[in-house]
Amino acid sequence: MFNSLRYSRRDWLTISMLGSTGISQSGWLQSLASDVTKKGTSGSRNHKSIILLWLNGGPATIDLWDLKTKHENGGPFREIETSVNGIKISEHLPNLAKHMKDMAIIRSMATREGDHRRARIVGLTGYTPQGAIQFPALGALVAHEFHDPQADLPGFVSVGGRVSEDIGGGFLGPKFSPFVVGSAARRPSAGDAADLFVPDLGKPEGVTSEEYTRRLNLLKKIDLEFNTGKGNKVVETIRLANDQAVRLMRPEAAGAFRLEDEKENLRDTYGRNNFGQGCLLARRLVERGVPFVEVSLDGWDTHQDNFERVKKLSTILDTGFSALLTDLKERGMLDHTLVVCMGEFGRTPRINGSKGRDHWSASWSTVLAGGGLKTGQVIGKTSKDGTEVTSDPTRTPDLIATIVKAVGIDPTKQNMSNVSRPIRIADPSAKLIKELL
Amino acid sequence: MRFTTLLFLIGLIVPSFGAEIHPQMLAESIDKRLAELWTKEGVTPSEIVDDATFLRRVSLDLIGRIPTPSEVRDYLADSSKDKRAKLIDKLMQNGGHQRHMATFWRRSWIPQTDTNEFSRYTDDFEEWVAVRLQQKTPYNMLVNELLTIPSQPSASKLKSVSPINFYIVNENKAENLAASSSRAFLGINLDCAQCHDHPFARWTRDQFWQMAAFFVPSTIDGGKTTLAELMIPNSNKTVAAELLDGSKFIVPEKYAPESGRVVLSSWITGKNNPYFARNAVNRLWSHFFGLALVEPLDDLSSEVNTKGPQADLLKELSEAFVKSNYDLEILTKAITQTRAYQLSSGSGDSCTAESRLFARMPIRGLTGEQLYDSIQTASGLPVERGDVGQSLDARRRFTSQFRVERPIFTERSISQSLALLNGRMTNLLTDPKNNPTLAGLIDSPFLETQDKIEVLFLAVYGRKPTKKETMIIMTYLEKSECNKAFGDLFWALINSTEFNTNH
Repeated sequence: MFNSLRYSRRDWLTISMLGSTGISQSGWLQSLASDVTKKGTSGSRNHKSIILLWLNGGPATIDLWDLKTKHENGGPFREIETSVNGIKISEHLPNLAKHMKDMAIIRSMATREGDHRRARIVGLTGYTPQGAIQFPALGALVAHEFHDPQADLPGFVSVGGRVSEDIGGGFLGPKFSPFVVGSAARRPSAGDAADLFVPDLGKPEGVTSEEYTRRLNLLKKIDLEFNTGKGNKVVETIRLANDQAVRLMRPEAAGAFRLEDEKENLRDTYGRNNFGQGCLLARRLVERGVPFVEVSLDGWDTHQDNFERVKKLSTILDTGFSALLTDLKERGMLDHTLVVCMGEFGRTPRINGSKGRDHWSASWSTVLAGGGLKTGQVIGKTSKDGTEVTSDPTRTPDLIATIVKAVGIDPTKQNMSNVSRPIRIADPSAKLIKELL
Repeated sequence: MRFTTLLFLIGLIVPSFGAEIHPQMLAESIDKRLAELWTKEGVTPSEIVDDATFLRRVSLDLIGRIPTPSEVRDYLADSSKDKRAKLIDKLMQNGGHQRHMATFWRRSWIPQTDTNEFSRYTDDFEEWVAVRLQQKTPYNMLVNELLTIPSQPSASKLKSVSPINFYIVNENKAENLAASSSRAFLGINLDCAQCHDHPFARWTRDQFWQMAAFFVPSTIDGGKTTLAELMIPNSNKTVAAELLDGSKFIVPEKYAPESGRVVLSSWITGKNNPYFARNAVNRLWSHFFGLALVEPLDDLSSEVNTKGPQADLLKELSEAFVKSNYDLEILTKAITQTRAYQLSSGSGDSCTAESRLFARMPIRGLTGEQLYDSIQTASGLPVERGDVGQSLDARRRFTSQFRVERPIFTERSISQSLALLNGRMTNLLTDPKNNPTLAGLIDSPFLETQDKIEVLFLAVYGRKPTKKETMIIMTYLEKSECNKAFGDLFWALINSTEFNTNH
């Protein structure tokens, strides 16, 4: 499938060179009119993909992956057995418990940032903010390595609305910024996925394909008259976005976003909410060769009523995440799709006066699944009260380096930054988590 | 040698402003400084732009929209020598100026209102800024009013405009208010100090929480006002209110819950504060030149940002700004009258050396507000206004999709392109029924096709078409049904990079 999407690129730049005769018979327009949806098959790809399940707000991982039932910090949740002997997780994640063989829990995340915005930058880029350097998001770095510029689908898609709109292509440029599906206006945990569609992907009403192509042709010609020289970023991003928008309108590309093409019962198993359907959309995109998809689930900033809220969110997470793993496995895609589940930090082991938990970065957990990793294991340990990491402390750069290494990218590879200094994909201090690779 | 000369010059120039600051003189001294900088760096500035380009640029910057065709015609026909200065005066008297600048200050001070979470607090806040700007409130008074609004406002105050949303979007939390205020009014980023001492830090965690303590309601103790103390989260440490520079302060005798803020505001907005005026000038400069004199905008306290010719110019302008009694209009007039502001954007990237030296005007993207109002203007529709009871829903939807924090760093997204190419608004406006500009030219029996093209170019691009452009369009029109073809042409111009940028 991946190959079928790289096919002949016929963007509007090419069209304009064809002149006005016969345009309607050629180029993307033909495909636009023929409306053929190709079914994806995996296996022909030449790269792995990553799906990042971003638990926004800082999840109480002490109530998900590393429970402290014997300590007062533990709260009311119980632990349940998983498919791997000796590994226990929250009772509110029963379906994921069955997938433990394909998952690895890192219980020893020890980071420094306790402010949402800064912690998000660190979590999503792997770097601590430094002066003027515009660090790209992990999704941009992976898209930069793997994305075929001829492909119609973007290399980095963010589903369910982005909370940190400023973390994107960074110094790699707008080309690698995420294509955002779904608005942040609605919590991803809510709704029936009605806004997980791409608005304005079809031609304007009342305009025929032929007329539309003529318009694009006219736009292209007129736009060339605005000569700003090469390399003006502001102008280039508009041209690039217009170009990509038109390519995304092709039926094969646009079809990737048509969740209604999936069987009803499969859609049900993912959960009829934005997060669940976002996971399903992620699978469809990865199936079509998209290297990086981010699906966010907001609402984890549980300063009050932590347990009620985490219980509800756990069910949404459990349903969507486990359905994704089952689906990927059944399609033979799990080995080349790495699923990462994390937020910006964990939450205080001590329960506050409002039955809530506050920001805590000293000891928390993340989960990795599939991707050919050595799964079915737990990395690291925290103390009995959950406040300290007692073995294998893991920092964000270590995690990022391990993630990219797992999909076949050298974490020490350098990209030129906006401050004219080469910057490695992962922070130079990063150590690979060897037990996983 | 050169450095000492520069110091000498600064010493000479500042007093020469005297008590009154004249925009033209200030503009000349800016140009002088920049010329010195260009000589030193061996850079040749680009040429001065033609009248049509200047009109479009200064209209977008001062009133947030492109000029109408009649504004273009009138301006091009004006042959007076000082027409650019006259134009600046005229635009600044336009009500759209305060409204546009209110958006600018709102976005600078509370950027979180550009997120869905807080966007509903935008309008009231902008209304307060716009009203105060119309009243010609000096900048220091504006900020002082914001920082010291009473915790329990009287009934009469409740009805009038107010900056209360500054507190609401900071969730009324002392730590958020401290971080926001230092960034917004001092150009200092304290965010990292909230959790720990930054490795290269100028500011410690204690200092952050000492600053935050000013935002906690003060108490009354034995008839004496006492500023509150704050416990640093996840620690056992309690700190008392302290100013960032450690200077002494006096707590007002008469008790008010906002006493801490009153103390803080008199330090922030005081004449001796080393950051307050510089931050205002630096931000306003970036509004007109894309880049600020000193970047990043929120790092004025860093060592590197207090040295060098740009930092010297910033200091000099700030001193003039203080002398003018924080008059934003004088500063705005001075900046827009400089030769530097009139330089062409030439070719190449906006962030290259020439742009950083202000030897060339960078090409900037348009904010969502500028783009929406300009599309309306190009269509011959009046700009929608909330203060005369019009619904701003459509404008709000559009601006939330086309969010731009810094126009010079704009990145158009695929979704935005799709909206502009295929969205309902664009599609409606390609129909003469909804587009007075198109309706007007199609219905004119006396206009030749070439004249019609010119009308459309004046409306959308604010200039006449070139011969080549006319030729391209004539060819297109020959092969199309005429009325529809003008709709196509309008669609193409609206989606072009020339229309979508400020150049």
